[in-house]
Amino acid sequence: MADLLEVVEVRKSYGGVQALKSVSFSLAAGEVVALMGPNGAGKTTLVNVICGHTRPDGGVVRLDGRSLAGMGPARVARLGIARTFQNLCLFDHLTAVENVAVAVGLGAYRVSDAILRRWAFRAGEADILGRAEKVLDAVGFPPEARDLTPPMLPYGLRKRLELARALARNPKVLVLDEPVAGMNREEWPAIAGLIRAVAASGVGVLVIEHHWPFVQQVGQRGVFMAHGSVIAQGCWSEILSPREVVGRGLGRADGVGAPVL
Amino acid sequence: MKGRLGRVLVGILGLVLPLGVFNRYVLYLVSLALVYYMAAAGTDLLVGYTDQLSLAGAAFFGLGAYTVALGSGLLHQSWAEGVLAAAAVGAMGGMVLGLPALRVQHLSLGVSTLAGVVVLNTWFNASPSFLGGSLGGSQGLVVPAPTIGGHPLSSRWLWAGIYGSAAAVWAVERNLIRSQYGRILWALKDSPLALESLGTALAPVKMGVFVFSSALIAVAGAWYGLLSGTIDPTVFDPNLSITLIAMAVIGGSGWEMGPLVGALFVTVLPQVFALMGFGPWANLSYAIAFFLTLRWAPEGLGRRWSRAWQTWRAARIRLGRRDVGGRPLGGG
Repeated sequence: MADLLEVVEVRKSYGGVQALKSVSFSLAAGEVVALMGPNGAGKTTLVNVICGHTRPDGGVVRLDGRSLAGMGPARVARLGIARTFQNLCLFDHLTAVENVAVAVGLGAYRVSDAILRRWAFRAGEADILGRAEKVLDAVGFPPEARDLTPPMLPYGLRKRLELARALARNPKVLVLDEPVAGMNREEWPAIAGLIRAVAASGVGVLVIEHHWPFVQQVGQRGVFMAHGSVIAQGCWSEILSPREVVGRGLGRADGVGAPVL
Repeated sequence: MKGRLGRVLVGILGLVLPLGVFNRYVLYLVSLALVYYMAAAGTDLLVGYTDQLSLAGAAFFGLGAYTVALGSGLLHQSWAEGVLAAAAVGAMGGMVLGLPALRVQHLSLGVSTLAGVVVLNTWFNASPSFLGGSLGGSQGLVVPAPTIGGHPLSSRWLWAGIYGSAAAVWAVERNLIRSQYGRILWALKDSPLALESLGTALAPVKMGVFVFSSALIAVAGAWYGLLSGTIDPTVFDPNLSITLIAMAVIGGSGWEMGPLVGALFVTVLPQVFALMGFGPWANLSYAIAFFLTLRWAPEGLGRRWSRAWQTWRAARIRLGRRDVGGRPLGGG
């Protein structure tokens, strides 16, 4: 199977600091890959390169064989890469359903249709809100909370809302930056199940996460980064066990919390 | 549909009532307030909804006023053509100023747009000749009285024209905000990063809003010229830019009635105070109103009420009680 997302020898320096030193890995459709590593390993820089927020110094990112070089985040998003953010980036003035509607409704009708309240607007608006509600249902967002704004929602629901907003774009690749950070452990299995279901529908999912037990529930493969390089990748049996990780000073013995260098 | 009927009835009442009740001076004053409402609505779209601090308001207001004056003086345009031409000139001016200005944000945007106002003001003061006519320099220009069928428009008809134009601006802005495009504007204000990562390129959205807002302000400037009969470079006064932002903020930015409340407040209240013999209190009342809105309803009264309602709802449906309503309302 041809890989959906290919990252080939990507490099990025900030001043004298090499944030990424020739990073390569790939992601197939329907696969969940966990990207791990201590703080400062370059995970977020890598995600920013993949999503078009940061231009790499060298190397290339390909989606479906097509190079994303020189494309900005909006272009990359339209080609089918959706992401969530480490620190939630929700639209705080909009209700939950409107947050998702922003993603669903791009280009549904023209500005003039909206101003003149033409039929295209009425039909388009009903369709947008209907689809947004469906996406919210799909991530298990309670219907009675749809018309609340993010600041009114508990943290777990805000995380689900951000996931729903990314899914609403029908992406080919979904990049989740710490999907369970700040969530209760009881909520992990539900989120893991959700991510596996998304992958089962043919989406390639890249999960950036510190929590070993969680990534092992959700991912088939792991890519482990440290100091801007991939130090190990493969199936769980092939790469470092948590014990070895601890032995190399890369994480804590119970596998919880951020591995700290 | 019931709501629409109600709005039409209120609209007709708002048009007719002042004609019966107000004398000519008060009618002039409310006409002026509606002119400023249009400009404040344009400003609010930019400053309130998308959080882009532009001080170029006076430039577009002045462009609109001069367009209608020159159009009827040199090209013998009718007042209606003049207003449309002002919208077009305002939009073009918005494009010209927006291209360099929108590359920066916040304070830098404020300063670079202010530069646009100062440049235009200086240029018009220098009395250049333009299309074979004069721009009048610091003396300014006379705007020919608007006519219909050769007869000059009475102040009542002028009121009707301004009222119709303001109603159109209100409807356009309301329809725009209550649509996908309104959601995009809020999204741009809340998290440009997230909006971009959902596939919306930011530059065209910012430019579109800037151009649209410029056109609205220029239309207001055109009506200002028609209403006052004479214009001079003081319509490009940077103070006006700040006053327009004040109108948008006092009424509560990001709320469709906000600019109307703000414009009435800024235009009518000082006159009321002056009539009552408390002239100096007008400025103090500004300051107090500013403070109160910024402290209690920075996003406008409409949003403030909707937030209060949200808190009540969130508390009732018990979504993990610990986190619900954790954020203080209003100023916090």
